[in-house]
Amino acid sequence: MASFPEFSFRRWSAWAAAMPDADAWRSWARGDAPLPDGEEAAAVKAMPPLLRRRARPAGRAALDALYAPALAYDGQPIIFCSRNGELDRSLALLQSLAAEGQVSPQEFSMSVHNAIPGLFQIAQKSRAPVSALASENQMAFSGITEALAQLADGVPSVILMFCDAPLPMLLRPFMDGEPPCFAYAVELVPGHDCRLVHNDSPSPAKSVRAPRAIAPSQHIPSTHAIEAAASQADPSPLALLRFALDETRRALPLTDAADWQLRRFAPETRHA
Amino acid sequence: MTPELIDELKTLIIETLNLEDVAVADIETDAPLFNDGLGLDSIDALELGVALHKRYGLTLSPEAEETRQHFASVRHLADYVAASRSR
Repeated sequence: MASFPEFSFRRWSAWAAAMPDADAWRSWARGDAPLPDGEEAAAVKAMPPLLRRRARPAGRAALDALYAPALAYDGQPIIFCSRNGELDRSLALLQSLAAEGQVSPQEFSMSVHNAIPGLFQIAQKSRAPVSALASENQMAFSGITEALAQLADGVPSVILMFCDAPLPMLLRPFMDGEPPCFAYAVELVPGHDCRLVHNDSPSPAKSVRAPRAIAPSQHIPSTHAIEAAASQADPSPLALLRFALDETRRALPLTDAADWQLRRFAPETRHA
Repeated sequence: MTPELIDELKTLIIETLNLEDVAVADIETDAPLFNDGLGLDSIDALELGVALHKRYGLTLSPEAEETRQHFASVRHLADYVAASRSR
């Protein structure tokens, strides 16, 4: 089977209201606690106000991460991943269409999934490629796959970013435990720290499907064990950030079934 | 055309276009609204067109040369609104 290239995480940046600095992110990454709540929107002081005004909270968080000095953005391709994007904007557009029969041109112009990285590229006067992905619960897997495909294609560095914000009030019943508004960007480069692997013959302990997908069989673990293992398999974008920041983490399941995983080589076993 | 209308239009521009950190006093009455002056773009022009329609019942044609002149500055816009408003 053709394999994905080995890679390393290089620079990173992240924004959430209750996370003041990189140290706060690092210590969060070492633990298992959820991201703390916060209401404040990202300031994005580095962006010209005339462009910044077009972004909603999720977009502002993403822009803050892209502008962060720690990321040192230098014209790399950007892979922008968001489950909901700026859904508050889409909802407002639909409501105004229903109530008044017309929509705001300004809001409409921003109502595409790649609008936020596009706004950043306009501000940067950059023509670097942008890919915009949306996915439900395998967002991190989709983003990593795209990033590694670009590295395999010869790109020397790629920015993989994720952002999302809680759904607007009207859509809250559809929420299933989304985190507070956050965004982060990680730079992936060819390297020898990590690899995406597929378990062709996964052991039950490492590859457990959600309980509803399991047919009765004497070979499968007890329901209790399934639930415990499934709850450990967290393929969310924030779990990927934890993996990137905490080098003691050795494996990250990227699918509910945990058949696709990121692995980090121990320093002594690295190829180079 | 009155100073009140001038300020009203400046407020409309700020609110309609989400101009952060811009106050009525920051907008020069005779400065260009687009490009070099306030720095607005073509999407803002469309947005302002919708707002002027809602507030004053004006219908601006995106293609017409007069529209370009009406949008030249807040003063030009105020002259036009004062002369042509239907509400």
